Amino acid sequence: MKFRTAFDQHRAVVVLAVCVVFSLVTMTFSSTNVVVRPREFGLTVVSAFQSVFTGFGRFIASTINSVAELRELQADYDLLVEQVRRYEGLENDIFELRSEVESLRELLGFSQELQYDNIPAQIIGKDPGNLFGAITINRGSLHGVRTDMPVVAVQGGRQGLVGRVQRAGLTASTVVPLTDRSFYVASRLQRSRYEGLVSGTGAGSETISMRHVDKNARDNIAYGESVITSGLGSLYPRGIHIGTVEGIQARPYETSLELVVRPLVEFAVLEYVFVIRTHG
Amino acid sequence: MGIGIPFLVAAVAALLQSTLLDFIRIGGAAPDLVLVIIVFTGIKTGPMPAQVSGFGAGLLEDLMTTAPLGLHALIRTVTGFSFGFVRNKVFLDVVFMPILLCTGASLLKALMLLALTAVFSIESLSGAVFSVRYAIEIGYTALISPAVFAGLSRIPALNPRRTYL
Repeated sequence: MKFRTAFDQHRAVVVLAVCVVFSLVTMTFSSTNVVVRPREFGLTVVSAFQSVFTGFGRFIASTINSVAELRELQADYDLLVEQVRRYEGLENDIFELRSEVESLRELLGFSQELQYDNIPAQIIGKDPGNLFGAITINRGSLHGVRTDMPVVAVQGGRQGLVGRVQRAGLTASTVVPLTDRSFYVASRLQRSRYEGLVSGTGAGSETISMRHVDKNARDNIAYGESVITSGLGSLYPRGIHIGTVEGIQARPYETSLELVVRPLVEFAVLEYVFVIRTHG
Repeated sequence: MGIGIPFLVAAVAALLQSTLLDFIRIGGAAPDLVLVIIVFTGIKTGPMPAQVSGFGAGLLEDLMTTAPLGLHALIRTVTGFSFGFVRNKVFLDVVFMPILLCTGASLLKALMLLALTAVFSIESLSGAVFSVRYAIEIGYTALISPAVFAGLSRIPALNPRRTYL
């Protein structure tokens, strides 16, 4: 009885303690495999809602664009505006469809051209905060996606590294982008062939860095030179474009160079990606 | 006070943040809608509904990011609990208090992120709190808070009548 009265009096504090302890315990174990399964299950469930919200958002955005377009047309035409608008609407639809078809053909072409077996996927969600920059894609273990598989995208006719799969749910996966501080990939300068280690500089940053480049390479590195994966280590196949050299930092007290690299992939406009099957 | 509606509102906000709010980013930063909702819930309904809905919404956020499971849950829980104690203690005007409270909540979140980054060595977060992007997030969140508060004031379940003994 006394216990119950005490509990009622401090219910909020007790619940707080339970929630805090639960959070701390899951944080402690989330680096191991202890909570992997419930998390993957949760990702699968949440991704379904994300798909719905993304679809809804795209529908709203396209509707708003259409309305704005119609308003512009209304100012230009008089009596036959209704008919012309209909035709223009149709023309626009055809144009949209054509560009979509071309875009999909291009993607399909690249998908077939990629020298690695790949799984095309669509981005259905991004990190809800501003701190991690995670990407959620609509392909999971059911489609063959596995943890640590590299993810690439095609932009401007070139294939660039996006990141790696951190977690694969049943029908959706979370991708760590190469801008994340915990992302590392063995890399090489495409022309001068010097090696280094590319790592992210934090979500939101427009550049990444390539460290541990031989200091003697300074005179041989050109601005704009491509950085590619070196293939060292088993995670990333060799030859995938990462970005281009935008700056060279040579500190006198360091034995190696640090290069500022602009990623090839522009994350803000990324819609489709390819997950490369490297194992399993 | 039930926790169903507050949790539902916070959960929908978490989903909105990962999808639709991506379209309205400024300088790469989106506002922290969940934080605003948790603060409002705390002030209007007290610590219990705020911390429980914060915990649930935080767990959802953890599932959608590469963060360690429990990071957002912990931050949202503590935020809900803290602001729950402000219930009936502040005069909630239309503009000034929402901005002040949400800025305070963002700073509290920053402090917790710093502490958790240090304790759990979360590599992805190192320096993130001191970035321009996070500063924009704080400002952006404060900016939208009056409008969000006004919208939430229309949800009866989040606005229980005051009782006087």
